[in-house]
Amino acid sequence: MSAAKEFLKGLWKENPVLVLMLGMCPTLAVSSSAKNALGMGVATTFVLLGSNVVISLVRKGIPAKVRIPCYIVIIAVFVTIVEMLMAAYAPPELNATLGIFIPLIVVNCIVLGRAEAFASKNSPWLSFLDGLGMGVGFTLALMALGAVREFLGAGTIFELQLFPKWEPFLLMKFAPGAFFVLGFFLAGMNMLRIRRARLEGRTYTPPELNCSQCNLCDLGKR
Amino acid sequence: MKDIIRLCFSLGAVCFCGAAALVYVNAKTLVPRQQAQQATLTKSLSLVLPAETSDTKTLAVAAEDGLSFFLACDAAGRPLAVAGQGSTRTGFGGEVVVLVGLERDGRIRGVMVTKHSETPGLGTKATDRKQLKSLWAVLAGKDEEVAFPPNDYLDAYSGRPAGEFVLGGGSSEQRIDGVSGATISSKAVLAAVNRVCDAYNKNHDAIWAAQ
Repeated sequence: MSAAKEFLKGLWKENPVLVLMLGMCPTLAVSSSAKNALGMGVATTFVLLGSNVVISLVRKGIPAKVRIPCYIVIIAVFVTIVEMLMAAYAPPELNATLGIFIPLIVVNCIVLGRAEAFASKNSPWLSFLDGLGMGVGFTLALMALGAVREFLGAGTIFELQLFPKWEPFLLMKFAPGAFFVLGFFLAGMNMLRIRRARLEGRTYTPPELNCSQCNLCDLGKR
Repeated sequence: MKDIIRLCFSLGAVCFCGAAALVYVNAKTLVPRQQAQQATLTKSLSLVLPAETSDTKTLAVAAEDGLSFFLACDAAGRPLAVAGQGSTRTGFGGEVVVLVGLERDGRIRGVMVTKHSETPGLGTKATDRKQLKSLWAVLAGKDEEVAFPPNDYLDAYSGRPAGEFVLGGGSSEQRIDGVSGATISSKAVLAAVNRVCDAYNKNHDAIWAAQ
């Protein structure tokens, strides 16, 4: 039961992009098309899985004072592995578009955030599920954003044209479009939650932004 | 003091294990990575060179930084056409690499951009040969794969003699019209093509004599 919960929380309740608001840099940069979003999501999921499991395995051997540099080294190793694997086996076109974003996974806050908030306190199995859930949640959120932006910005989804006569709204392909679409997604999330709360007969209170998801510093505990 | 040694040792151990893992993966993927690069080049070459090509040789002629030439031969070993690869760093997103196919008489067969970082939707109008497929046609199983999709800007070079092209000016043989909204990308492609043509004209005899 608890294992399934650890996996499922990343998909909706604690979705890294739409709820925790982590990893905004890749979200805004790579969601310009559904295909890029999928590639970035899969690469990030692989890094999250690897780093979560390894950090969980070595969590007792690493002194608290040097834990952050150790985590960064472990994450950087996995990112470099992904980079090499993609250069060797991924379709050349995908590798060319995602190339400059892959090294940035090192500083993606989702990866370090989950290492610090979850993997450093839980068993490897639970950390694996947490990483998988968070990775899949990140991929799905990115793909949804990417599909909407690609459709509005180019009239295509996964590079397939939907309507022959479509005047593309190019702005949606650029950074402002990413902010617009993300804003509408967050508004939609809130609407759904308010409706659900009303059905259950309670008043919806938005989650407080009190750094409780993260313990990189002790500001949230004061 | 003892604490510091312990901290250094832990961090050092993590770094050492990480480095060892990377050495292993690097060695394992070295050959596939080179093969992937080679496969991309072979595929691009097959698009700008004639279909009868059975062998492509990389030439040592004019091999300076960011320039290389390939000679296509038919089954009997006779040279058919030449492909020149040239790069420039003046693109909107940095480096732009073009591949230019050249006929025996020095006319351009076709131009394609093999590497760029131009803005999707704007700059890519001057660089990408992308076929727009309809979702409904794909679902109905009616889509046809076009190996070398047209691009109005890049196709403007085809059939012209290799020389110095001018964006929106010069004689009728030199004149190339840029893509509106993608002037910098158009200029970068033009500069890279000009670089290849210039090197081709200077080394014309050496390129065709290379066997």
